[in-house]
Amino acid sequence: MKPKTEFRFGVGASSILMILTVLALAALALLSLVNARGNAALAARSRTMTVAAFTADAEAQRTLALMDEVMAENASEDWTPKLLAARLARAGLADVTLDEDYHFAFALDAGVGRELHVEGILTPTALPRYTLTRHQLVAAALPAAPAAPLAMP
Amino acid sequence: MRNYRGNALLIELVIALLFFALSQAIILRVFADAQTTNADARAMTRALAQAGNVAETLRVSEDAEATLRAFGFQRREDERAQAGGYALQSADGYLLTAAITRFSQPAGLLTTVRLSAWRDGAELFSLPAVRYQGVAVP
Repeated sequence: MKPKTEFRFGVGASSILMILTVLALAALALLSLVNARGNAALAARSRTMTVAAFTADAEAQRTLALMDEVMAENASEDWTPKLLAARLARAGLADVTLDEDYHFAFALDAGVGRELHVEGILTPTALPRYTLTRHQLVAAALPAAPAAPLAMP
Repeated sequence: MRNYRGNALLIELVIALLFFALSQAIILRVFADAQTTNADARAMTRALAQAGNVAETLRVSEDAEATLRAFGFQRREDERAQAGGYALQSADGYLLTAAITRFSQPAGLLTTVRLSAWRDGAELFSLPAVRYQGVAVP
């Protein structure tokens, strides 16, 4: 007669089971934490970019207001582009470029490698005194990567 | 011998349970931290989207007060909204406030609306919505 073998829950099996369970739960918890921190970092970056963009836009509006004020204060002036550019520079708007056709342009830093480009046309003797033709947020150009060879040597 | 093996198994089970309980206390804390961080990030993202939407509309709006009321802002005497400011309480756990300032010059009017987001008494961010309206007719 074959001897009956007893099956016993061996010493050590429960420990192994417990260790495996704890390791799995710890991995899950760490993954959750890493994912949450990634979300928080993304939200912080989004905040930085949005606030910087609106701050640049606010500065652009103030610049336009100052330009309008300069032209309004000297409404009876016999304007030339050179004279107008000098008046704008005297008012603290040296970064505003003005060409012979009264096209103006300036750029403001909008954070995270971006710039707000504003362009338009000035009409100092008529109302409205300026017309916007461009109001664009531009990302900085990426450095040109070396061209990959089309065929292997 | 049987008694000895049974006792060893019992002791091992007790130690394993104690270790399991201790480890679960730590793991649950990590889960709670992750949940809190996620909730904060979610509130920040939603507040940013809403504030950006309001700011974009204010940039082209001629009546800042009417625009704020259309978005659900209410005039409120709140220390964060400042005197005469507007506030909007969101269901996502943040508060948006708007403070309007105007600078009038002969050439036109510069309207600045400072939008701020608050959560648990701390400011999340603040962004300006500025519009300059030049004189269109003499």
